Amino acid sequence: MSSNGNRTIVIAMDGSEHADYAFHWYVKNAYREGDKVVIVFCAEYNSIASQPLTLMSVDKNLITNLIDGEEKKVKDLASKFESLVLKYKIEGKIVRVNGEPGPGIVKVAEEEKAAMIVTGTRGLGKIRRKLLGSVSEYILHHSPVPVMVCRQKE
Amino acid sequence: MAQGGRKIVIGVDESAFSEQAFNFYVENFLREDDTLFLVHTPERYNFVDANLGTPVEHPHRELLEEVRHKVEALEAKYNKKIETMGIKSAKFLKRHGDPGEAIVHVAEKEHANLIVTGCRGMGLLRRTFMGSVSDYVMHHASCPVLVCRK
Repeated sequence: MSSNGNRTIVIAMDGSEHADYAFHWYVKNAYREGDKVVIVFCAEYNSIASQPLTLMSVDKNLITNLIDGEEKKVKDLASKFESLVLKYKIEGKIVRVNGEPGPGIVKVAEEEKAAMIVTGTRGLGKIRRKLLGSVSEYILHHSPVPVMVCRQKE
Repeated sequence: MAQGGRKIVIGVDESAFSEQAFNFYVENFLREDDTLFLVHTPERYNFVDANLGTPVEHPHRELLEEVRHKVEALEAKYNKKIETMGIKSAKFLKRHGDPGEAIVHVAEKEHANLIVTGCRGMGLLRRTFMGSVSDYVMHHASCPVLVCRK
């Protein structure tokens, strides 16, 4: 982090409303001119992995559709991000990470020499009773830099 | 962008982690109209157990004095930082009991916008990823939490 204030901020996003909240919270509460925002999007092919094997081996179209679905999510995120970036005149980019989201996000933060990681409390995970999702939990325990966990009142 | 003063709760103790968290907040988040609530929970001594049920007058006083001095020193240290860093509105709050609970309680009472905590404090256990206070705060706060780790 340089003294003239050009920070790199990593924001973990998965397309969930928690991630959206985190992004908006960052813009409203922490954003400073000169910030470079790196949005880390993790393509989770979980929906594919959780399909029964028999189904996968028989129906190639299903796999294609699932992958297309995931790709569409990235495109949607990119366009959503684009409109926010234009609206707030933020300098930023999207980095796509494959594999486990937690380690992927931390790695990007290290590579980009981020000043902090911004994350929501949960993402798209199905377990609503959890106070903190697995990815945010991972980031909290492994991040080399401060972590901003944007919890919203529920 | 802020619509009038935000309320920031920061847990402070004598550790360097606490100071790092405070500094990080000032360098990266501080706004002119922020109001800071520094929450400090001094160590408690269990006098009854220590004296096997027989209260002894003088050790009490010495220990209490020691605690009081430490708290005063910490308060003075942070008041100086507040002044040096040009923070306009700040309160140093002393609370009893569990630090995590105290921090969350103040945050709820004041409808805080943000809680700032270090990742560790005075604890000796280094085998865990995160200290007990930040862990408690993370799982019980209803507002955003900034966990400062270096």
